[in-house]
Amino acid sequence: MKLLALTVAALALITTPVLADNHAEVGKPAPEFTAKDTNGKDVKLSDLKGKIVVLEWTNPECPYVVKHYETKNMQALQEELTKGGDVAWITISSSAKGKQGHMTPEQANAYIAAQGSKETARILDEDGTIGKLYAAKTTPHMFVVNKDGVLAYAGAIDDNDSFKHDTVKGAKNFVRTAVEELKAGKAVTTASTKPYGCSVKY
Amino acid sequence: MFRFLLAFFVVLNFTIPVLAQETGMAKPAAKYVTTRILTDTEMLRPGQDFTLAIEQTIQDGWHVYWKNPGDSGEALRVKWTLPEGFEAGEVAWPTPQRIPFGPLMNFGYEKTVTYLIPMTVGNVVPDSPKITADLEWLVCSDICIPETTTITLNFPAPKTDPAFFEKARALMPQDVTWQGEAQEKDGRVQLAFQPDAEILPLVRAAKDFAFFPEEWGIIQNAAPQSVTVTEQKIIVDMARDTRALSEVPLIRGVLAWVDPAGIRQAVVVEAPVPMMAMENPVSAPSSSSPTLSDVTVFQALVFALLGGLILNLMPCVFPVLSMKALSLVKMSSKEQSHAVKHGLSYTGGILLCFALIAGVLIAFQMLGAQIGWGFQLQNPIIVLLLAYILFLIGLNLFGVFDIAGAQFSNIGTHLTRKKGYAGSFFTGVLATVVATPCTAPFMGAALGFALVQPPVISMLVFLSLGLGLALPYLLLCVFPRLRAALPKPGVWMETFKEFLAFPMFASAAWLVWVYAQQIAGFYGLLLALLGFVSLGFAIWAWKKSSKPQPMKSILRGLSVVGVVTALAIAANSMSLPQETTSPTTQETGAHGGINFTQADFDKARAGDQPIFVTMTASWCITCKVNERVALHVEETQELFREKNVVYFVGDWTNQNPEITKFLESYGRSGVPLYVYIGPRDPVSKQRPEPIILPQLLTPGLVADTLNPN
Repeated sequence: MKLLALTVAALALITTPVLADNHAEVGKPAPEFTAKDTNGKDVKLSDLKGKIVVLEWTNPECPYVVKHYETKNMQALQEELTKGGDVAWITISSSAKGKQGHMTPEQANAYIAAQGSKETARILDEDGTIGKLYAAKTTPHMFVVNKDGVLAYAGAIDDNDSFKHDTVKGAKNFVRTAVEELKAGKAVTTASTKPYGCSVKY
Repeated sequence: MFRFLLAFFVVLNFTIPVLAQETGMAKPAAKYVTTRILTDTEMLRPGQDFTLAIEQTIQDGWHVYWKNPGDSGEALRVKWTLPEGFEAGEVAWPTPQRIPFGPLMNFGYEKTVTYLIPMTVGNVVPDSPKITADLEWLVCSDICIPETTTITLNFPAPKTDPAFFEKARALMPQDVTWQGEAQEKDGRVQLAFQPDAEILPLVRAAKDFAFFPEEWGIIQNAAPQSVTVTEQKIIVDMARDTRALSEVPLIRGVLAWVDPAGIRQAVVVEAPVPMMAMENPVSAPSSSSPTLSDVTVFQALVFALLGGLILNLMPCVFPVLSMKALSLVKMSSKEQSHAVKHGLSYTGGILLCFALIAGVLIAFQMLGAQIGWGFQLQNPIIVLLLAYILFLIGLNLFGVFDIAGAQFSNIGTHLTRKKGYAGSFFTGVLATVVATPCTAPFMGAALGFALVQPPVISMLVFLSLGLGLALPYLLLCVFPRLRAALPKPGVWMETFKEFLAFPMFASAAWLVWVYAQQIAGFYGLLLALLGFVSLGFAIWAWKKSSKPQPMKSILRGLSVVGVVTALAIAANSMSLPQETTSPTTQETGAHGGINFTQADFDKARAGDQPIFVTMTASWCITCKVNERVALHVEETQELFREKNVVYFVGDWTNQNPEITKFLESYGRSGVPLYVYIGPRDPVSKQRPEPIILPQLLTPGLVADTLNPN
C-alpha cells in the first residue's frame, strides 16, 4: 500500500511541473527530510520529535529577508524562541546553483557569523528537494511543526508584507504566536497565511 | 564566484536606498522601472471626478505584480498626499499575465503597465493644487529589487491625449454580471460561469484562457488550468490549493482569453463558494463536522424503528392497521400458529416493499440522480394513483364493495384458512404504499443518514423502518396476551370500521390538493376529480353486474371502461403542463420568502445578513403545520424583519436537484429542513456554525434560535 502511494506520488511529481502542494498541509504530518547542515551534521526532522520545529526559507539577497535580518528581527525571534531548548529552528536555502542566494557551506557560515543569525541549523537545499516537498514559495516562507511532527503553521512571518524596514515594528508575528500557542498546549489560531516575499530561486 | 559578486553588488544596491530612506535623505531613482503619472483633466473644478494614470515602463526581462502577485512578489502600493477634500479611489488593475518562474507562478506585467485611479476633487480647489504619490513596488527577473519613487503632479497639468486613457481602459477587465458557481471535488476547484448568450460563440472560438484569482491559496497558481465552453457555460477547472474555502465565501477573479481576432479580452467574475465546501475545509482538521457524524449507525436504526412505529398512527395507515388488528380479536388461542404466520406474512410484505423502495433509491443515487425520500410524491401520476387507492379503501371500509383480496375487515374469517396468508402479505404491501405520504418527523435524520451511507447500511436503515411499521401487528400476532387487551368484538366494530373511512377520504382529499399543485391549471384538477367519478361508476357497474341479468356483460364492460378511464387520466398527468419551477404556494408568497436557488443562497451567504432557510413541500404535512404554527405567523415574520433575516423558502413539491443537494449537505434526504445561519461577525468576518432546527417548530423555538442567550 505504501509502495503504491509512493509510486503515485512519484508519478504526480513527474507529470506535474508544479509544487506538490498536497505534501505539506497544515494539520497533517510534516514531510520527513534528512540533510546535511552547513557544518556537515545530519539533520533529520523525525529526530526532532518532542521539540517544536520552525522552518525558515531564506535567501540572504532577497529584499524581504534583508528586511528581517537588517532590522535584527529574525535573529531576535530565533534567539527568543530557541532559548528554552524546546524549539529547534532550521533555516533552509533552496536557491539552486547559479541562482541568487546560492552559497557554499563556508560562505553560509560566514554569513551566519556576520549577521549574528541564531538558527539551530542551516541547510543548503540546492537541488530544491525540501523546498518542493514543503511547497516553499517565497523567502521568507515560514513553517511551524508541533511536537508530534504535525505541521501546525504555514505562511508569512508576519502581517506586513512590505519590503520597507520600518514595517517590521508593530507587525503581528504569526510564527511567534504559533510557537507560543503550541507551548501553551493550545491549537494554533492562525494556522495558515499567505507567504510573502521573493520567489524561492529553484 | 562572479555570480556571487554580482549578487553582492545587488545587495549593496538595495540596502543603500533603504538606509537613505531611513535617514531622510533624497530618494534614489528607480533603476528597472520608469514611472509617470498622467491626468485626463488639466483644470480641476470643485466636486469634479477625474482619472489619474500611473504608467510604468519596465526593463526587458523584468516584471511587476498584479494585486494578487501569485506565489511571490508584491503589488504596487500608492500613498497619496492630496489637497483637502480630494479623494483617491481604488486602483484599477489591468488584466495581468501569467509569469512562470521555475515551479512557481506569478501574476503581473512585463514591458509596460498603466493603472487607473478614479479621483474626486474637493468642494474647494486650492490655488495651485498638487497631488503627490509615494509609490513602492517590487520588480523581479530571477532576482527581486524593491523600488520606490515620489511623483508630484502640479495643476493645471499638461493634458494627456485621450487616446492614452482609452487604450488604458481597453486593457482593464470588464465588469459583467455572469452568474457563477464554484465547486470543489477531488483536489480540483471548478468554476462555472454563465455568460451572455451573444458572447458565447466568441468565447467558444477563443484560446489562451487564464483565470487569475484575487485571493491567495485557493488554486495552485502554477498548475495548468483547463477551460471548457459548453452550450451555456464556461467551466474553468483548476488544481486546488490548501487554504480553507470558509475564508473565501466568494471566489472573485479575472478570466482572460484571446479572441479569434487575436485580441485579449478579460472580465471580472465571481463564484460563490457552496456551503458544503465551506463546512469541510481542505486544510486543518474539520472541527465543524456536519450533523451526520452525530448520528451513529445504531442511533439511525433506532430512529428508523421509532419512525416506523409512528407511521402506524398516521391517518393514512391507522385505519388499515386497526382493522387488521381488530380482525385478530376474533381469533381463539387455538389458532395461535396461524396468527404468527399471518404476522410474519404481513411483516414480509412490508419489508419487501421497503427493500424495493430502498433498492430503487440507492440505485438512482448511484446513478447520480438527485432524488431523496419522498421522491415518490414528486411524480403526479403516483400521487393521483395513491389518492385513488385511498379513495377505494375508504369506499371499502364504508362497505360499498368487497374485493376478495382487500377485505381487511373480514380477514379474521380467513384466518382459519391457510390461503389468507397472501392477503396478509398484500396488506403489508398496502400499508407501505399508503404510509409513504406520511413521512414521520423521526424519519428525516435517519433516512438522510441512510442515503449517504454505503448501500448495506442504507438498506438496514430502511428495513428497520419497515420493521417499525410492522411491529405492532406482529407483536399482536405473536403474543396472544396482548390480543386479550384489545376490546371485545361486537357490533361497534362495524361502526368503527365505517368511521375509519373518513381519515382515508381526508388523506385522498389532501393528495388531490398536492396533485393540483403539481400540474398547472384547473383543467387537470377537473380531470382528476372525474377520475374519482369513473372509479365510483366502475364499482357501481360491477356490483350491479354481479346479479344474474341480461345486461351483465355490458355492465362489466362499463366497469372496466370506468377503471381504464381513471387510469388513463392518471397516466395523462405527465402530458399536462407541469409546474416546472417550484410552485410558490400561497403561504410563501404572502410571507415574503425568497424562492430558494443555490445561486441566490450562496450570494446571501457571502453577504453579512442572517439567513433562514425553510425546505418544504405541499405533500409534507409536518412542513405545513410548522409554517402555520411557527413560521408564517406575525410574531416570527416581525422578528425576521427586525433582524433583517434573508428568508429562503425551497419548495420540494416537485423534483428540484438543487434542493435535494442542499438537503443532503445537511444530512437529510427529505423535508422539512430548517436552517438558520447567524449574521457575519463584524470583527472576525466569520459566520457562526449553521443551526439546524428541529423538525417540529414553535414560535418560541424560532425566536430562541435567532436570539441566542
